[in-house]
Amino acid sequence: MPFASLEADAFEGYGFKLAEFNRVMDQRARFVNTRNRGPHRDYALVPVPGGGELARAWEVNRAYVDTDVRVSLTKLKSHVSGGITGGLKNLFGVPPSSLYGDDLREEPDEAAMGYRSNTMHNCTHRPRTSVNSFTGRSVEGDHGFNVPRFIVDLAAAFPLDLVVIDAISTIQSAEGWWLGSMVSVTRPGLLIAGRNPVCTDAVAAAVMGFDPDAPDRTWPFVNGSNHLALARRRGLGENRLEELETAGLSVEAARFEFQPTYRRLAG
Amino acid sequence: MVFDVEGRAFVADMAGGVQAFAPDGKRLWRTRVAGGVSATPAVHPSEPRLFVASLAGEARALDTGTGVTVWQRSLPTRSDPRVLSDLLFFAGARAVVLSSWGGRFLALDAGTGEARFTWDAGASPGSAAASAGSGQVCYGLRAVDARGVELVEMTAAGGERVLHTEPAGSRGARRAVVAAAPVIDPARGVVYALFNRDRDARLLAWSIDAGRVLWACPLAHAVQATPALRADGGLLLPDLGGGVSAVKPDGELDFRLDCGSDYFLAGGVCDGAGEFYVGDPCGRLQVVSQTGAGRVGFEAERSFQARPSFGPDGRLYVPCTNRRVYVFGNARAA
Repeated sequence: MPFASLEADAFEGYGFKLAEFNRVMDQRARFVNTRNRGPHRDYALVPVPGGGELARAWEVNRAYVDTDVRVSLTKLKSHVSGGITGGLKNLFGVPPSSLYGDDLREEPDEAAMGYRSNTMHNCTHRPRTSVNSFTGRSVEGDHGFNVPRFIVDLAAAFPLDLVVIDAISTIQSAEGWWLGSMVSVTRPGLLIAGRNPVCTDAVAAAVMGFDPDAPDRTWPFVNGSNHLALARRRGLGENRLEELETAGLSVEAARFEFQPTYRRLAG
Repeated sequence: MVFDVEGRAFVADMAGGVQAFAPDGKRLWRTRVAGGVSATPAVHPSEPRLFVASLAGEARALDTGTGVTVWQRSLPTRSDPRVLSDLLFFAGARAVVLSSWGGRFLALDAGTGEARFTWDAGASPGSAAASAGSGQVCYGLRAVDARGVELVEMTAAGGERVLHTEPAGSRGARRAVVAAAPVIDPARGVVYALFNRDRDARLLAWSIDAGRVLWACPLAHAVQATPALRADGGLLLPDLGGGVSAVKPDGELDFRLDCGSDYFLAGGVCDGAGEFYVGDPCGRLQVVSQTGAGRVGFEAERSFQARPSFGPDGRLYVPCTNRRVYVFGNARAA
């Protein structure tokens, strides 16, 4: 499993070319795997401003708070529960496996590497955080309800200074190889960047051929809530295209339609 | 792109637009269907009908002269009705055959759109059915849990027969990429079918007359694109490793040319002299000679993700994701 290592080689497992990256970055880049506490003595407990809908706070590797600037560098792709993956959905990887992972038993485990299906998708398990950090208002088994709300609770707790969305070569219909033939590759050949994640993701959704303010349970948010609209209502940014200003290519010129994610069979 | 006997060209796009063009490039009409269109439409060979199906599971017959809807059907499904597989006009059944993620191949009556027959299409089907001429059978591929990937013969009377079952790779049939349609070589009485495994693939030749597998050719990379049949019976296969393989009619691998592409999504087309044309995701029209020599014939600023095709006028039409269709009067000069 490529991300077992806590060192930079964890990234090589995902295809990052570290030597090239470091050369471009003048050797100033440092790679940190935040799947657990890392070298820190404890975790950072980060409250969600206003209390959050599903999470009151997040307990995370201190790298996310001992920093001046946060940049979300992400692929643009479809996501079954979130509709699209952009700078906001990318935050789902912030909660560490050691406290939120599927492979946990009763206690935190610094060796854990599991995803967050049980804690943040199905919501059948509580995370092993030091305090009761979830509100209990999730809906068991309803990914389309839970995932968008956790995204917004993450975005509120971890404000982003810059979002860079890699839409050069990516996948559509769903989020990963594990979904087999339901996923296909596509090559829009685009980079999208912005200072506000809601605005940037809204433009990205429009580039994909979707309405970033689409009603819940319609494409591209066919399996649940529109997290871009939820984020706007929480005051985190703007998702209505007519309210946004873009530079570079126009949205129309950049547009590259994606196949939307599939409708999950009920039950 | 598809063409009718009068030389009109029809193109459907991911925004749901369907357009018709005269041979001189003049747009004749434009209409819109619900949902984007990934599946190549089909044209009725003798009546003015264009058949289109969308990601929203809407199938339509359009009048080729006007673009007016003749009939419209929403595909029945409990889950996602999207249509990814290219449409087939199945002459023997006077039906248009398609498959949706609802898991069925459907034969819709060409005149009314009523569902005449359905067949199991397996898990998340993306592979089109194929038939030859006015034949009474068509062929399809389907991934079936616990069985593998099956090559199926479907009849104009609604029957079906499994011809061959390929065991699934280690990730199971549901994870197999079943996207390339079978290819029929009527002259040799052979149906070719692609079976992808985890990373590689096997091309299998099925003898229609003998009713058995003739040979199977291992391929180093999985293949999503429907192969192209060359006039000499060779098959050209652009693969997910970014190369093009040529397989001789006897099953021997002739060559594999690394085209320097990340991958090939859509198939290509051969001209009468055996030259093969295929677009790549970096916007290059790759040209591969009969002997396996490659060159880039043309470059666009965005990716090619649809199969090029020759019109009845002999010109090469290459749809691009930049919303243009490039037309080459002399393809060899491309």
